[in-house]
Amino acid sequence: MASKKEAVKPAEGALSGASSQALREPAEVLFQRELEALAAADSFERPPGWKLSPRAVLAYVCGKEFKGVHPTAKYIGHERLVEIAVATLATDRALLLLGEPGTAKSWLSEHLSAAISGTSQLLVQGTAGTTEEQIRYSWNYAMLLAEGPSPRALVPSPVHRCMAEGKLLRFEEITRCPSEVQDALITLLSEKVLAIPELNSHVQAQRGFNLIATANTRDRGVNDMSAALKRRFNIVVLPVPSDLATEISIVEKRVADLGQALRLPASPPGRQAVEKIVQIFQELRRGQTLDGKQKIKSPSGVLSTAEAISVLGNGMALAGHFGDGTVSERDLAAGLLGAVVKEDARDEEVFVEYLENVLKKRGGEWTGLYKACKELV
Amino acid sequence: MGQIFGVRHLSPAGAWHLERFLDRIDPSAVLIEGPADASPLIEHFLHKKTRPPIAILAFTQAPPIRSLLFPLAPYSPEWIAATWAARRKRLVRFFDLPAQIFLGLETGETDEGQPGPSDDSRRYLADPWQEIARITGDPHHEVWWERQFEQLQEEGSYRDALLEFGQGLRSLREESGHERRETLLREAFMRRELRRVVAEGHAPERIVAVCGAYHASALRWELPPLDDGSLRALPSPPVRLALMPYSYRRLSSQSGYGAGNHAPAYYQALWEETQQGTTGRLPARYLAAVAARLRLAGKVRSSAEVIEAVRLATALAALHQDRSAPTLAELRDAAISLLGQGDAALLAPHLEAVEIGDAIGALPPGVAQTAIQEDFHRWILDLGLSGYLVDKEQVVKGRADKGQALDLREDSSAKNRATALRDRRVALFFRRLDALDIGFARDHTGDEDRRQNTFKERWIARWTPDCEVALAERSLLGDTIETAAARRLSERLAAATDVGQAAALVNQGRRCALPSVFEEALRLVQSLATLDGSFPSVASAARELAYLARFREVDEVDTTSVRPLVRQLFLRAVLLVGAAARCNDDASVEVGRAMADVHAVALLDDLDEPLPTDRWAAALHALADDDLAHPFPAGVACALLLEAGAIQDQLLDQRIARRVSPGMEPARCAGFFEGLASRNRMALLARRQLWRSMNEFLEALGDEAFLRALPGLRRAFSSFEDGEARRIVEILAEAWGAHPADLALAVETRIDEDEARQLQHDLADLADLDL
Repeated sequence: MASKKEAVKPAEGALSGASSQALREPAEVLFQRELEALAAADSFERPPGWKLSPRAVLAYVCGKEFKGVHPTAKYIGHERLVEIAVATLATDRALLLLGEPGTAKSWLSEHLSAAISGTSQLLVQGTAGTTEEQIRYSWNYAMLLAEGPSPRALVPSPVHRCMAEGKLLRFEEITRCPSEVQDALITLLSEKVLAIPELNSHVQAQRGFNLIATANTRDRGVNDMSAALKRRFNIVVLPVPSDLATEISIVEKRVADLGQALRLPASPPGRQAVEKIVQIFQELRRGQTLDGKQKIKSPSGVLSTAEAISVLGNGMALAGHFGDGTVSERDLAAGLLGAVVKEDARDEEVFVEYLENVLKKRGGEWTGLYKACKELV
Repeated sequence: MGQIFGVRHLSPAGAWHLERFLDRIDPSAVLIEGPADASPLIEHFLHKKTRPPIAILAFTQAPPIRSLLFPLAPYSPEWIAATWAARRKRLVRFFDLPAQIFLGLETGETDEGQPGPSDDSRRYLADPWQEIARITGDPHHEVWWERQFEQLQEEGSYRDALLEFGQGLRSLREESGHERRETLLREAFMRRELRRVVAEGHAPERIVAVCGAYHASALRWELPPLDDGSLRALPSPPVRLALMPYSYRRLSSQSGYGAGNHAPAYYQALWEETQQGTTGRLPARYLAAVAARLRLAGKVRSSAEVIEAVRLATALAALHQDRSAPTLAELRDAAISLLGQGDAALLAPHLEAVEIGDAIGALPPGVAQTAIQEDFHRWILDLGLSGYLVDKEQVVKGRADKGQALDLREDSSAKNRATALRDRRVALFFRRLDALDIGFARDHTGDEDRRQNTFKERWIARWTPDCEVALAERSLLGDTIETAAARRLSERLAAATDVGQAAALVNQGRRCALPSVFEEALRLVQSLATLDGSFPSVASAARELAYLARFREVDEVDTTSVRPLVRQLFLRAVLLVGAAARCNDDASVEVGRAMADVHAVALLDDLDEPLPTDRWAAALHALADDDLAHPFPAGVACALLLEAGAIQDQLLDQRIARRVSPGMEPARCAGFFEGLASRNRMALLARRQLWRSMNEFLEALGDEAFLRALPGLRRAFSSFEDGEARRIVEILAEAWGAHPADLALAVETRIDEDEARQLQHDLADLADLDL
């Protein structure tokens, strides 16, 4: 589950491959060995411009055994959705990943492009300030003034480069871009040509070019996509994990990864702590206890899996730097409160109610967490 | 041992291959796996009015009722085999264990304890293929099945492939000892029947036997047939066999084993495409149908999107297996991704229409009717209701209201007793049908009619083919409408958990004139009344039974035994009300309504022994003073006391002042007022003190507090009528020192659009305020 914070633009060095000081390596570097092994074993037909066959991509993302190669699972849960995503890209249609915040949209798009194009770094990070130039091309103005329009004066955008090189383009948070910027994509996607009238030329998309866009369902209304643009996408909605076991395995894996990447001087939280945090998240999200016996008020904000991960990661950081290196209940409580009470002060009441009515009653192994939380509210 | 053709129930590809196989072999005798004693029913298959889906229904006549349902769709291999042979006048028989014997067999232990009626069908048509899906790792065995077998292959391959799989499956499947014995018995019987046909002079190579692929390898000469002695030793309870029309919707609701099919309309399309010789067009057909339904619902979907969806489905299928055509699972995912734009919920009803469809089978009139259908038509004839057997809504004519309603009283001017009670019997008939959930007639008696009298009822009738299907299915419950209704209500009684439900069933037993149900339900009420701690359900039971106790003459059921129960329930409600009123907002409305129910019971004076109404009044007083109680029930308590004249003016004013005063939580004040204003408004209007308190309270509210009080206040005031509102205006005018006419003008002027918009904007946060 990649949150926005993790999708920081890499230092220039990351593109060239090895920079161990980078905060976060891109997928194609982190999993370089897996990708190479898969490519070597892959004897299926590869769509033009693809580094791997669709089946190998699927195996890479879902962690399925593939001709003796055992890749790790990147996306846990709905394998079928990944199948649809891969099939979409194989049919040359653009892919739109929709979902609540923290449902691994960016994460999935990164791994898909790493597996298919060999790079996940050709991306447009959509914001309210994204301009059309960032999607098409811009100019090196000094050169433009000196020489007039020339290919040398042209600064290609990621879109431009993807088309010319036949790579996958990632477009993050597409609904945060102004609609006129989004609309620049319409003809681009149908004609697969980027016109450069100033040079009286155009860039033709090479085979392998395609687009993976991501968007939040929560802010759909910010700049909802036009029907014309929507029509050019196959839409896959990524769900919040619905069952406990899936979410636990996602959280456990990602927390361990996180600890390694950040070099936290703490051991990953035990299975029990993960289970507790995930159960609390699921119960608050659903508005009832897991056994369905008790109704609970849900907080107004989203409680994503990504936040469950960050609660545990935060706990590890606290334990590592200020504690004895093992994650205690007090280390978790602070993060938990912050995750539940985000926007609305009333969410604190929700959390207190949950503490008193549910956690307290459970007693036993929950007592520690209950007490730690109670100190804070 | 003859030409064995293994199939799966409801498999279009099986039907297609089987038809070609039959054409090639040209058998003189065709044997089909199905209850042997149902063979005489095959003659009706070819009737020009017979249209599948239909089902063979077998059920025991004595309790415990056990039944077996064998559905046949146009694409069932069994249906194809039977009609192929019947059309060419070849010998055709079902050759599996007769239903009479099968339904007499001991049932094995099941997980759910007692085996229900459907378990017999489940055992009979069990679908062993599920096991394979588990091994191949497909998400659902239907997906695996469709990919493996429904996509057309070359002729002949299907039979061999299925034979092999059936054999493999036999070695894989873990049957319990009981299941194994049953399977072996059935197969021994099939061998016996095969031998019999051979003995009758048919050449073995010209006999085609159609059976589940699982059994195919067991039909060999080397294995012994069932001998006469063992056959005679098997129990065979009397069983009734009948054909009934079936529907795709029902077929889909029974998916999960061989008797059902999760997507009948889709399989029908698959069958139609198969007959064209290729299933290549199916994805386009399915997706275009979904798009067409979306367009009908007002959602624009272009052909380009359908094309892209077909491409996506094909690509998805290719991810699994090269050159495999998309199955329903892929088509559905493609439809959701493209036509539904990722929104599965939006698409669900349309997918259901395209996959399940609403096809309903038909049988020629008079053919193979079940006893309950005969009984139904006897009633229809007897009561002269034949005119309502059309697919159109009609008001049922009766004596009351110029023919528009039924009059349940005896008609003293009638020539004989039958006509004198005609309306009552019509109502009785309809009520029993209603209890059986046969959607033929629905009760349309308005609240107004009910309040005024107890003898007038309005009904609206409409006959749909689905009614016939439902009726035939109810034959499992009994042979007549009456016995079936009684059984259905007893089943509901067994499932009832709270006293309110039980009391409703008492009333239903009374309405359906079923004394046995009535008494059984009363006993249940008695036992539940002591245990049930839910105030609303006790109150509604008390109300229901008290209402019922008023019927002395109209119905056949004796209601005297109800009265002591009413007393018991009333007392219990009185004891529960105090604790029940300490509730949250959601429950408060229900508690308030239940209090009104109890009050209505308290007001009844025609019970033999007076109810402890003084206790009720005391409980209401205590509730009105209880600060922990939710304000709405507290308001209702005051209103009820006021109505009963059991509260002194001074006390009421004091309570109002305490609950509705500046500084109180605004939503709670509004809640109290809402409860208080829920009844006897005229008495409230006369109380200046109330309005003065309200006025002070409102004026003291800040903007935010006012917004919070608004939903409750609005709910309370919206129930006032114009005349009442004018009176309030007058009172307020007096309090404010304004002229009543000016104020009335201000109140009654409609707000214009700008104001409305402004209001909407200001109040946007109040979700429960419906402007």
